[in-house]
Parts: sequence; structure tokens; C-alpha cells
Amino acid sequence: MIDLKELILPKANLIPLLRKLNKDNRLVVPVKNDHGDTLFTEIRDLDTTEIDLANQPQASLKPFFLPQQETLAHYSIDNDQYRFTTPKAAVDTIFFGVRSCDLTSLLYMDLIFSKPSKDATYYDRRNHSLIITLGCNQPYENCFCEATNSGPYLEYGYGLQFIDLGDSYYVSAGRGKGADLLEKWNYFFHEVEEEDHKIRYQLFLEARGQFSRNIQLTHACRKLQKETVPDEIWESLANRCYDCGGCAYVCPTCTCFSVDDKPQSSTAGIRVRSWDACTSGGFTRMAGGHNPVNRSSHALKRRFLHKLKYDFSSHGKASCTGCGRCVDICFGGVDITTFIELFTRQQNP
Amino acid sequence: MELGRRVGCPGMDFDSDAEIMEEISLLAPIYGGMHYDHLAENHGLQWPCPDRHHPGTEFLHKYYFTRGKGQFTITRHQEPCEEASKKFPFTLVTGRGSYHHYHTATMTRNSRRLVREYPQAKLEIHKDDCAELNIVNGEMVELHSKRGAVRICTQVTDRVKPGTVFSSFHFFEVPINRLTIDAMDPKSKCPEFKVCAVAIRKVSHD
Repeated sequence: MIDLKELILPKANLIPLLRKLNKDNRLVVPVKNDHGDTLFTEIRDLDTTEIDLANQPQASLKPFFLPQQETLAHYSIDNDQYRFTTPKAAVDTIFFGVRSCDLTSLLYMDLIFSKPSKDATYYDRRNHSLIITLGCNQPYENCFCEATNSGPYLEYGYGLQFIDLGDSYYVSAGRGKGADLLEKWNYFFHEVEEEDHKIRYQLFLEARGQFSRNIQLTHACRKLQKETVPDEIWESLANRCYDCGGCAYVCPTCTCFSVDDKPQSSTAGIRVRSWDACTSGGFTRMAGGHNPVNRSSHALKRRFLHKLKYDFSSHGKASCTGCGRCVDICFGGVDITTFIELFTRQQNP
Repeated sequence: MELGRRVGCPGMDFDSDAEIMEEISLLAPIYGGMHYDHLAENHGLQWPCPDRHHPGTEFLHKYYFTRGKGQFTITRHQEPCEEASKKFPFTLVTGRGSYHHYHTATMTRNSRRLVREYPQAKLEIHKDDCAELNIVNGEMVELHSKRGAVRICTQVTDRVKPGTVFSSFHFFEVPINRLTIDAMDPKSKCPEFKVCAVAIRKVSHD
């Protein structure tokens, strides 16, 4: 058993610590912008930019590891020979203030981008990253991470996990870089006392008791292994899906992408990877125009079955981390929780 | 600018987008304050913005209508300028075919995802009309009006009534406005793009 380090960081020491970390690393934290939106943002000046730890960032960490659009390679044709150059390597980045659900999503992306072989651009960024999470003491309105077993606090996966105790943070180190970091900057911290343990546990229990929604996710996953979903459920959902792709774009575990080669001249071009969404008609439409998925009745089938049925059977865990962003964004009201509620309520035929 | 130069319009020698905006702000009073630096300071501005010191107008009619009380106007029904006839038996409606493209699609057709979702112009036509004309889904047809003709791919649908066909105007390859009429509403001056009489002909392959 490895004795993983746990220490207390007084809140007054947070900015000085981040300032030290920022010297050798790019620092990405949640910041509320001028439009009132909280987003993960690269921070350049810790004295003038306020870190927003009160609101849930509207987008997850996904764009930092799988950007909405990225150039995988430049190509040029020289004397009938193709030459490829890959983009610059990633820089060391520390992400601070990441919620438990978003870290769990990243662990899922690690899995997706490791098979059949490691995705070079994804893993370059991942290997240059350290994630510092902040446990949630107060779940947000549409969160359900307790149902997905990805919060409000985490047991593994993080570089460091911060828990807000009021005037200090209870900091736990994960293996590797997180533990090294505590070691290196230990003079900002002090030892954990028995009282801190008790407060942390009390906060954890209170956080768990504050979820406003009870989503039967595991029940839905198990039921899906045995039963098929009636067409009426798919149709009632598809009726209200406008194919905007919002759910896939905000979803931290939606990793579908397409690759296009874009010529820039007659002898050079770029290979671009960009986000895609299985809910779009064109995702499955064949060259002749036939579409095996009838969008008007089954638009959302692929999305929900992938997350709740196929991932559950192949990884033992659904690939929904309960962040609630699709609930926030879907203006048709046909997010994953709607499906779970419709399906679990449905009696066996 | 290139287009302006080619059609022989004088003064098309701007150095930047900002310079174009300067000229617009001189000519259109509601854009009077919309200079690039002012736009950047404010993360965009909403018109009317008459001068550089104006913050823009967030709500045009927030507490009252700017003209005072709203004015109701009586409009008498007037038949469309051109109705379906024996020679041109269908009514053509044009419009935005899909939310994947905007107007002439000069921006949206740069996105491969959007192009994939709606790749080409389609003539939406009811299945009963298709059966009568012996046309199958996806068949290329010629669409004629008194003014011109285009070739367009059909899409069988129940979104349109029998006797009516619909086409978008997003695709330059199918310049549908060669067929539409130049009549307009006498009051609003809105063009009568939604009604013109057309005929559909099969494309012969001999």
C-alpha cells in the first residue's frame, strides 16, 4: 500500500502556490468572462484575473485535449513524394479547479484514445498535463454525478484533489506528478489534523445529500442489457430533437470526430480533425443517399445506447459522468436524463 | 472589393475591413458609431448606434414603441402575380432549405460538416406528383418558368402539398432566381419569391 500524501493548504496560500506552478507550466483555470460565462481559460496574470470556483464551467476540458478543430498534419507534394510535418508538441499544462465529473470524463477519453494504438496528438497533450480537481460541496442544479459514480469527490485519477474546508483546502495527491508537486512545494502546506478529516467527511456526506435529481442510471444500464427500448420512446425523443449537435459538443465523453484533408494549394494542404456528432443525419448516411438510421424516429438511439448500453457492457461503466451539461443545453428537453426516466419507468411487456 | 472592381464601381480601393466600416458609418445614420475600435471595445454593438460615444441599443422597443403607439394597417388581399397554369402547372416556393446553410452559403459551405448534412440543392416534391410525372426520388429534372430554367435534383417529401414544389436558394449551381418573378409587394416592397408558376420536365438521356 502506497501512503498517498494528504495535506492542508490555507486559502491564503493558493495564489502564491499557483504563481509558482505557473512559472514552469501553462495554467488553465475557470474564469468568468465579460459575458458572464465561466470557461476554462489560460491564465496569464494571477493578480488581475479572478479564478471562478463558484460556477460550473460551461465547457469541459474536452476542447483542450480534443479541440473542436485541429490540424493533425501538414502535407506537401514534392516531386511526386508526399512529405508530412506534424504540429508543435504540447506544452506542460496544469488544469486547476476541474470538477470530479470532468476528470472522470478525461479518464474515459484516455481509454478511447488508447485503442487500438495510442493517439499521438491526444496523448502528447495528456502526457503534458496535470489535473488538479476541486470536489463539489454543492452540486449544481442539473448534476447527477452520484448516479454515475463520478463524484462529488474522487478516489483516484487526479494529480491533486482539493476539497474546500472553508478557510483552507484539504489536498490529496494522486500518484506521480501530483505527489511530486506536494513534495516540492511542501512549505505552502501543513499537516492534516483529526478535525480536518472529520470536516471533510461531514462535507462529503452533506454534498451527497444535496442532489436534487435522482437519476436511475445504473438501473437503466442493467435494464438495457436485457431489454430493447420500445420504438415509441425513440420516436417521442426524436420528435423533439432538432439536430443541433449541442449535446455532443458539450458532452465531455462524446469523442466522435471526422478527418478531412484540405488542400491549401496544388502541392500542399492540411489534415484536419474536427468534432462530429452521431445525432446528425450525415453521420450515417451512405453515398447513395440511403440512411440506415431513420432520423425522424431514431435520431437519439445511437447516442444513448452507446453511452448506457455498449460502454456499460464493454467497460463495466456507462460513459456518462453526470455533469448535467446536456440537460442545461438541450432546448428540446431530450437529454440523457429524459431517456433514463422514460425507459426506467416503462414496465416489462 | 474584387466584385465591385469587376462591375466597374469606383472607389473600391480600401486597405482594410475597418476602412469599409468607416464609410458605412458615414452613410448609414444607424451605424454612425460603428467604427472598428468602438466595436472591439464593446464586444459588438447593436444598432441604432448614431455616434462614437453611443453605447448601442440593447432593446429597440423596450418600454414603448419608438413611433409611439403601434399602428395597424388594413391590407386587402391581392392574388399573386402569377398562378399555376396549364403550361406551368406547379407553384414554386423558394426559401431556406435547411438550418445547415445560411443564404447563399458562402460561409456555411466552407464547413465540411454542414456541407455533408445538406450537400446540394433539392426540389422538394410530393410523392403523388412524382408518380404522375414518373419521377423517382433523387432524379435530376429540369424546372422551367416563363423566365428561365435550372436543373435540380428531386427529393420526395410530404413537407409540400401536391401541386407545390420547394427549392432552397443556397446553391449557386442551381440559380433558382432565374425562375422567380420580379413582382413585389406594393407596400413592403418584399419580392414575391414564394409564388411563381413552373413546369417540371424529365431530363432526356439520349
